[in-house]
Amino acid sequence: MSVLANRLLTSVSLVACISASASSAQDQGVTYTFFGTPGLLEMPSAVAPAEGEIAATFSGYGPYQRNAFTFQVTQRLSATFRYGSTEDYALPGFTATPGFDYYDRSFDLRYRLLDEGDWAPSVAIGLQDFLGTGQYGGEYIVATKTFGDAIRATVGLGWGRLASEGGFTNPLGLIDASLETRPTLDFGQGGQVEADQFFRGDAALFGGVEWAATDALTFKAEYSSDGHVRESELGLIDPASPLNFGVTYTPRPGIYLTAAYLHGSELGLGGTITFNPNDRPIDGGFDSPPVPVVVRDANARAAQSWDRNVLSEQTLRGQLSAAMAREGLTLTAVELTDRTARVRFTNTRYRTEAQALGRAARIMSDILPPSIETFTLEPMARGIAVSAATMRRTDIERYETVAGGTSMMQERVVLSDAGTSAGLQYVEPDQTFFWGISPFAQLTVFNGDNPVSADYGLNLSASYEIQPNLVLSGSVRKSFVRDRELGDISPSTLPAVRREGQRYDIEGDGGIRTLQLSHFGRPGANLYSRVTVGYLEPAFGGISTELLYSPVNTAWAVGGELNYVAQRDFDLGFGFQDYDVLTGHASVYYDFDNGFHGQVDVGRYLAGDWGATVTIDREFDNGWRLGGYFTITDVDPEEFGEGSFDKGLRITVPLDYFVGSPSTQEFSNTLTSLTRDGGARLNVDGRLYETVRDAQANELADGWGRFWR
Amino acid sequence: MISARHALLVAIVALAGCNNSGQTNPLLNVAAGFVPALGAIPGVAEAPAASPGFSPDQIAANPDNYILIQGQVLGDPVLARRIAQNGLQETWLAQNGFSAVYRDGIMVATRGLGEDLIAATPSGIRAALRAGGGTGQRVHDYIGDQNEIIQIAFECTITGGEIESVNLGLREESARKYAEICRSQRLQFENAYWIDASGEILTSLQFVSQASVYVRRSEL
Repeated sequence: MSVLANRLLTSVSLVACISASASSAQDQGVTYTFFGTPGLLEMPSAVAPAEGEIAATFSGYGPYQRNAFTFQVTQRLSATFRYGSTEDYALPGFTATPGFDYYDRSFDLRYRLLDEGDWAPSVAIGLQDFLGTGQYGGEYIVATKTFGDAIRATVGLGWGRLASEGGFTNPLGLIDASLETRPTLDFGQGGQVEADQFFRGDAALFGGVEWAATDALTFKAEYSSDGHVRESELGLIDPASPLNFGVTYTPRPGIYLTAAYLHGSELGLGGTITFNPNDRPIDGGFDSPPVPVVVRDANARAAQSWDRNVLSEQTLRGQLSAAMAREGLTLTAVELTDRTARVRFTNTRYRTEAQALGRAARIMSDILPPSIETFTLEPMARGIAVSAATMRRTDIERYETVAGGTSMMQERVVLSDAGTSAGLQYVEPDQTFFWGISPFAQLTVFNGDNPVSADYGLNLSASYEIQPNLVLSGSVRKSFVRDRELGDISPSTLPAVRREGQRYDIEGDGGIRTLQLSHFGRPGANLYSRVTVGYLEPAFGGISTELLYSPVNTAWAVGGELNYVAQRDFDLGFGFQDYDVLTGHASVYYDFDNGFHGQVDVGRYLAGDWGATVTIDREFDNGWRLGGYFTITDVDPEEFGEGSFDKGLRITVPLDYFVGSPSTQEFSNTLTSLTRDGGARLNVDGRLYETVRDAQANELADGWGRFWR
Repeated sequence: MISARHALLVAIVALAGCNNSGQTNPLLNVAAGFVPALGAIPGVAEAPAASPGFSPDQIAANPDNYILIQGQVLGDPVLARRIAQNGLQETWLAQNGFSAVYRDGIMVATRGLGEDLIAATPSGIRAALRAGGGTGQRVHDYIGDQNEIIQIAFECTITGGEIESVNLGLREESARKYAEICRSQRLQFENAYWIDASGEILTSLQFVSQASVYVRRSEL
C-alpha cells in the first residue's frame, strides 16, 4: 500500500508558485556594515531590510570588537544597539591605560526619507552613537540607487566622526553659520541625547559601490569618511587610505559573512545573522487537532429544554471539566439553563485566548444538551473572570469549516465584561498546590572589564491556591556556578535601592527570594484589583495594591498602584533594613492599531524620586515584542550617576514561535544601562494590565485567526 | 564577548525544568525527538503504544469507520477513524495525530499538519466530478505568520481520465481517474480522484497547503 501511495503522491503532486511576491529593489540584497547597520563596510547606505527584521552583527578589526543589534522598527525607521570594545582606548581628554579595553554602549537611529524610484535614489538620515559618550558619534544623510539586479551605488554626507576624513566646511553653514562649529562634547555622566552636536562642524563625503556578482557573493568598495582620529592618536590603528574593500558571502538567506581590507592596514571580519518575527518558521503550528463541532439536527435544535433526570448538571460539569482539561483549559465554574450555558475557565496552553475560546466552544457543542443555544465563555486570569464572549451555537455549527468562517465568528461573537458569580456552580479543582524546579541563568552585562558574567543554579518555586484568586506563593534560589564577585558599590547620595542589588544574589544565595500572598478581584464593572503582601522581590517586602480600569472593548486602560515597602536584609531572611518608602504610580496604557503599544507611568519611585516612565513596544501578533523605555525623575544626572537617567531595551520571545507546539511560555529580558537608584520601580508579580489584556478585545482580535485552529 | 560557554549554558537552562502542573515544556518534547534518551525524563511525552480506537477488534467490528490516510509530510499511510459525522461532513483522526475533514468527499479542513487548511468552500467541484468534468471554484483559508487569516480563491477545471485499477489495500477496484487543476493568482495545484461506477470516491489526493502539500485518503 505504501508503494502505491507513494506512486500516487509522486505522480500527481504538483504545487507551483506562479509568481513570487513583489518587493522593491531597495529591500533586496541588504547587507550589513561592521557597525551592524545596513550599508557598505564602515559606511551606512539608505537601503533598509523588511519591516521587523532583527540583525545581530559581530565584527572585529584593528582594536575594535563590536556586537550590534539592529531592528527595523517600521518600514522607514531602524534602531541599532551596539556594545563594543576598543583595545587600549580612552575617550578624548582621558588617559589610555595599556591593557585596558574600553567598553561602551552606543545607539543609532535611522529614518528613510525617500523610497527608491525608477530614477530617484532612496534617501535616509541617521544619527550614530547619539546617546552616550559619543566614541562613534556622527550624523549622516545618504542616498542609494540600485542599477539592474547587481549594482548598487551609495553616496552620503557625514558629520562628526563621519567627517573625520576629508572634511570640509559644513554646507549647512549657509543656513546658520553656527553650524560650522561642532562644540566639544561634554557628555557628563553619558546616556543623554547630545543634540548640540547634531550636523555641526565639518562635513565630508563618503560613498561606495556594491556588486552582487552571484546570489552568494557581494563585493564592496567604499570611500570612508571615518578617519579613526582618536584611535590613530593613541596608536591603535594606522589608516593609510580612506578606501575599503570587502566581500560579503551569503551561504544562506539570513547569514552574512564579511571579510574586508580596511584603510590599507587592517583585515576585518564580520558576521550577521538576521531573522524576522513577521516570518513564522513553522506555519500555523503543530497544535493537536481540536474536538470536531457536533452539528445538531433540526429537531434537536428546536428543543427548548433538557431532562436533568437523564443528564444531570453535575454530570455535564464533570464531562466539560475532563474534556477541557485535555485541551489545557481549567474549568472553574459553570452556569446552565435550558437555553444557555456560561463557563469560566483558565487557558494554560494556547498563546492566544481566541484559540482557547474556539477550543472551549467546540467542546461545549460536543457535550451540552441540544436545547442550549447560547454559549457564554468567560476566560479567567489569576482566578478572576476577565471578559465574556457570547456566541450562538448555531453559528459554531455553521462556520467551523467554511472559508471565511473565522471572520464570520468574529463578527457574531459579542464581547462584554464578565458576568457576576451569581448562578455559577463551581467545579472542585483537581489541583491547588503547584511546584516547580528549574535551572536559572542570570546574566550580568556591561559590567566594566567583565562585560558578561553569569550565575547558574536552581530555582524552586511553589504556590498554593487557597482560592483561585487568593494564592500563597514563594521561591528560593541557589546558585552553583558563579563567575562574578561582589564588586565596588558606586557612591551616590540616593538611597541604595538598586545599586546594591548584587548583594542579594551573593549574600542572599539560597535565601527566600519571594514569599507572598496575592489576591485578585473584580470590585466593579471594568475594574480589576490586586493586593499582594509579603516579600515581594529580593530587595523589598511590604504591601502592594493596584486598581485597573480597563473596559473590555477599548484600546486604552488606566490604573493606579500604591505600595508601602521596606528594604530587605541582604541575606534574604525575614529581616528588613531601616529604609522604607511609599511608592506608586498612575498608569495609562494604549494599544495602537499599528502594532505599537504605549505606556506612561507617573509617580514616586523607590528612592523617593518623582517622575515618569515612558514605554513603547512593537508588538507582533504572534507574541514577539521589542521595545524600550526611559524614566525621567527629579534626580539630576550628576546625582543619578553614569547613564544620567534610567533607560533600557526589552524583548519578549514566544516559545511556540520556535517549537511550533502550543505554549503560553515566553522568554523576556530587559537590557538596561547600569542599574542605578533613580527611577527604580518595585518588581511585583501579577501587575493587572498584563494579566487581563490577553482576554480583552484588542488582543483577542489580534489572535482571532486561531479561533478555529 | 559573549562566550560560547555562556551561550551553551543559557540554552541548557532554557531547556530544562520540571513541575507538577501537568504542563510539559515544549522544548523538552522537541529535544526528545532528537535525543531518544530524553524520553525518560518525567514530563516528556512518550509516544503512545497504541492509539485508542484502533484495536483490531474495533476495526473488525466497524470497518466502515476506518480509512487509510497519508499526510504527505508525515510519511507512510496510517489508519484513520471517523470521529464525527455531520451530514455529508466527516472528520477523520489519523493514528499519527492529524485530522482531516471531508465534505461529500472533498477535503475542507486539516489539523495537525503544520500549515493546515483551516477551512475551505468548494463550489461545483463535486458536481463536476459527478458530471464527468467541468469547472468549479474553491476558497481556502490559511493562518498567516501573524495569526491572520489568508484567503486564497482558486478557479478549478475537472477532467476525466482513464479507468484504472486501484489497490485499496484490502481489495482492488476499478475506478476512473479525475484530475482537478486549480489556479489562483500565485498558486497552482492538482488534485486527483478515483471514482467508481457508483460515483463513490474510492481514493483521492487533495491539496492542503504549500508546506503540508497533499493528503491522500483511501477507502478500506
